[in-house]
Amino acid sequence: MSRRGVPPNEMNRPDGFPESADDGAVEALLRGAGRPLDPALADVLGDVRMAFGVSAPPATPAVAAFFVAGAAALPGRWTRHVTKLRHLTRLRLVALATAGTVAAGTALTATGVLVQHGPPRHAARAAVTATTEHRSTSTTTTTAPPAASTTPSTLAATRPATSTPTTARAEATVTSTPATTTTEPHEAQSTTTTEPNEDRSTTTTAPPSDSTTTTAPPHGHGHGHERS
Amino acid sequence: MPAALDLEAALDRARAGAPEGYEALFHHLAAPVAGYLRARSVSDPDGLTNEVFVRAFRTLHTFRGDGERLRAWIFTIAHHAAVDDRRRRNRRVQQTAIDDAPEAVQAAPGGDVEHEVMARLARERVEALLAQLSPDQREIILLRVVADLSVEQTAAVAGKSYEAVKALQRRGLAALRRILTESSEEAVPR
Repeated sequence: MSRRGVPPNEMNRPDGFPESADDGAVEALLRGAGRPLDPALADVLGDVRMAFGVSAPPATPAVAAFFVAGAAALPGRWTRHVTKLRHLTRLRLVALATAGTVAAGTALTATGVLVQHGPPRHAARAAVTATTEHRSTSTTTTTAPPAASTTPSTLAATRPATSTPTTARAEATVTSTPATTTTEPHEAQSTTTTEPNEDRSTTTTAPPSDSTTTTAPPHGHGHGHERS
Repeated sequence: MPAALDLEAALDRARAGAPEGYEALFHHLAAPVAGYLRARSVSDPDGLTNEVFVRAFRTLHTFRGDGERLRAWIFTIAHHAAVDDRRRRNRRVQQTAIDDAPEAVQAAPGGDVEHEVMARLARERVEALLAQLSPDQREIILLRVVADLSVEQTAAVAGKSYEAVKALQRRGLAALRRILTESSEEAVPR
């Protein structure tokens, strides 16, 4: 390529164009008025013009409609700023939607678990409580006052399934300190490996260590307070 | 009505930020730009045309000149877009969309199928003729005929000198004339 942008052979070899065709004639051909000079060539150039020059404009897409719709007056830097803001807003909306979906899913799952497992467990616990009362009063006669053994069914029914209180012990812990209420699930869990679900609440009073609750630490177990 | 504005008035309106100015510019120049890009065999002429106008509109506040200079400026953007598209295609694996398959002659929705077929055949014939020119000759002929640019504007768009454009267009016309003569001689049995 030469310095002026023309390959060397373009300038040196004859072009084969009629010598009579001066620059004016070439211009006339290119402008679509050279038919008297060369009809065939003029027709070809007319076809080129018709095939590519006069065609339907492309449909205005959304990105061009953005400018056509009136935002075109914005300089480039403002356009970029608006685009960035839109992107951040979109990200924030996506994050909020995701968090909402997760929260709703969790709530629905928890509700489904309660509906499926909650009421039967409470009902079973309430039904078992009657037998527990009898056993607990027989083994730990000193821990539960006589009045406490009359209310555990309602108390057990209002508690979550994980805190499976017994009748007398639940009364004792509630009346002693609030901290002791957290110890009850541990007791219940320690016994679940050996007992079925229905017996889980009842066996918390069964172990011998529980019956001798005077040796239990004051914060770890609520039975230490039962001595009084 | 956007088409009622001429190029100068459309440019003035667009500079003032009026939407109808941008729309009129698009309607004045989109068709030849799309045709030029189609003749350059870009992968997506309509999409690239829209890209060209988005680039132009986004930087229109930096443009100085009248309507004819705007025409050359937009074709300069189109020229660079075509060059970029060719480079991209050279780096990518060649793919042929179903719409671009030679057998698929599809009419525009609600259009005349016969007219579409004839236009497609004429375009293929012209493309076959232009394909026999050198890339520089083809580029100059397209800019002069399709984009309707002057020699000076074509030189500015293509990045060549005035004399080089004149030589290339003359060589290109001579080549086309020679091709036509040879094809007519082959068609007539001796």
